[in-house]
Amino acid sequence: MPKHRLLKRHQYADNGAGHLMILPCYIIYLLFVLLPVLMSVWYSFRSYDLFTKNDFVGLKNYIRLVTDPLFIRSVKNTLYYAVGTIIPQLGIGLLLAAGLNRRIRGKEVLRLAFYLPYLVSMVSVSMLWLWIYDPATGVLNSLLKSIGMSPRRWLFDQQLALKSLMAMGIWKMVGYNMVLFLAGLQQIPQHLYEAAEIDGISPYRQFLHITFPLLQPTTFFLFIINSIQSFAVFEQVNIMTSGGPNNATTTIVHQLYTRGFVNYQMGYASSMGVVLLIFTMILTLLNFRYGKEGNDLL
Amino acid sequence: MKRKWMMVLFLLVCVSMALFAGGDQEKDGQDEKVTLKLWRMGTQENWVTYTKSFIADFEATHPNIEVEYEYMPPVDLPQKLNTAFVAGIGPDIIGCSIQHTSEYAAKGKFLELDDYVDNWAAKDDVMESMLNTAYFNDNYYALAYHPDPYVFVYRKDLFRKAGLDPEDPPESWEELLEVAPQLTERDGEIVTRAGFLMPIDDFLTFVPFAVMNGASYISDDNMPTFNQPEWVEALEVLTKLVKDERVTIETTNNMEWTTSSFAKGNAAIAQVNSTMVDTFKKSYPELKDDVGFFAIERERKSNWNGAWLFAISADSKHPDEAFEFISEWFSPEAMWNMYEATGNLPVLKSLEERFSAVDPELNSALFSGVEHGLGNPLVPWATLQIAAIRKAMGEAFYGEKTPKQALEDNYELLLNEMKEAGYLD
Repeated sequence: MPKHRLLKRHQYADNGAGHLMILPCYIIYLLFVLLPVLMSVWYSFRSYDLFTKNDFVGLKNYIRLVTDPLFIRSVKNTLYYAVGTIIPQLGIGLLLAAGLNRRIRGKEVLRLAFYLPYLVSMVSVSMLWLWIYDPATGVLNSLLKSIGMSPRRWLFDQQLALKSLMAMGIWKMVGYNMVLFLAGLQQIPQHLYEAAEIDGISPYRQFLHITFPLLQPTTFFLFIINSIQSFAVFEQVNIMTSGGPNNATTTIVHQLYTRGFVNYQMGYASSMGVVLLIFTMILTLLNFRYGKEGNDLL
Repeated sequence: MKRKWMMVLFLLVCVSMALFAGGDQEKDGQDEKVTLKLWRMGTQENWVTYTKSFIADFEATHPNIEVEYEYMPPVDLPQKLNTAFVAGIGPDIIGCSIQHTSEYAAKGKFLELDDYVDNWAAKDDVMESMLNTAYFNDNYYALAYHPDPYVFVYRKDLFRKAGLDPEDPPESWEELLEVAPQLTERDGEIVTRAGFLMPIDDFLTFVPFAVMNGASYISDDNMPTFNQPEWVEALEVLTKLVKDERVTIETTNNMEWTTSSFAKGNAAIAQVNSTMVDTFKKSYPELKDDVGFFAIERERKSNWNGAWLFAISADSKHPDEAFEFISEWFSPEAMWNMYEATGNLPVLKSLEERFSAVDPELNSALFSGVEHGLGNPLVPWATLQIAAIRKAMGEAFYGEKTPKQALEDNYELLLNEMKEAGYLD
């Protein structure tokens, strides 16, 4: 028997206790994650309505997806939301981390202040931003008027509604990114910067050639986390706009929820869930492929 | 060896914890006391407080019954009910709307109440329109205790302020189109007080406009009708008000149904229920005499009149006790207490005279509302229809399509949705 196989078996025997200790987690994962995912795939081929129907319908639900104007709109909105939030969330998070990684007074308070929105529940945050965005009595319009600008209709303007939700999403998420970028920044050996300074490298080039490459694992991790969150955007949509005005903010998960829990079309909703799963799996596979790059530089 | 024993011990602890977690259920099983689970939509404080006090009284007179009460926003009810029904842990009594009743009855989740209702001594005292609210397919599926008639209200003080005669409210669409812009207040492009309150997706206002124009909500053969000319004309008028004249206020208050902009003093004319009128009068006591009521009549009078009902789950193990609870809820004493606590129009004939004497102007408008009002149709595709109507309204109000085109397109969409959902061949 090859030596490496013997070694693997030996390692497995050694890890048996560990596997048993985390058996409850395995069971929870199996019951509450893997099984529901497999059931969603199963139901996506059926006419399941929770109570009276559960017939096999083949690809009917998937064919319906490509002809359903609301679902198509939701995919466009979700992609728009994802593209428009992921990059700013990462960029602003990195800038904040870089700024607050320096020796400045009150940086602990500032870090806390930027991180705080992430800790607050989306329901609370949504209620707060509803108040901010109110056209007649909202804070934002009062602010605009005070500096001589015209008030806007925000969540009632088809062109602005999704962007308004994106702005809120970015505001909520940058603190989380900042904290992880800070952790990444603090792992970069200081002597690399000292050597660069001795060689007369400008701060900009230091960032470009030292900081940025060495932050790659953190960046990829955050990219995946931010992507998953953006593709799964739901709570703020449901609370703040219910997908309106005129479906300008409906997203995949919002449609999934509506179809499944409001229209009792759980089979069709499951097919939407599978599409979302595929999106997420592609992103995760990208993470597996590229996420470890940069580790070897440390 | 020691490690193995540690593992065995750990697993034993896990298994023991899982087993003992269910200990209370066994204890409940030994107890003969019946526990009724009541889920009621509606989170308004006055209703919640009243329901709790009713339950306390009910439990005092029925020591063998305990009632577990949960309340939730109407939009959350279907989601919670669906998951609970599928898991087999649904409530015994469900406080829901007409639309929920038709949908869950069609799916066999609500108990047919005929045996109970036919033998119910108080049956003849309940207003017939209420008794028939959830009567379809020759069965009673729920009992309506809370009619929700909407009435046209206007602010006389704002009429005076705009130079209009406060005793001459609009009585036609044309007059509404004339006065609403004059009553609208703006701050630049933003409406700060609605001349006529018309939330963008408010089908509760649109449907009565169509019906007063001669439309039927659904056809005699239970098909949607909203692509008919009567509906188109109604949407054209509302589109003029919302899109062209911009008379309605836009607010991010997503509790518009429970705290209307009218109740907050931000509308001159609105179609609202009695709770909103009551809230307004409490918030602005100095203006309580400045609230007037009117009706618009074209082909016929029409306004919205939804209803809140109690149904019993088909899976309930205690249907007798559940109906006993509902029966008590309808007792004249409880109904009057409910009126005093919530402003609810009592649905018993024996209380009609007493109720009318309290506030003749408002209460006669409410009675008229119940008489001429209509709620969601008793069809299992009511939710799909509401979504289609709302979508058409959005497309018309945002100028994406003409009202006619929006209604036509969404009518086709609804038929397609009904086919997909198996309601049409």
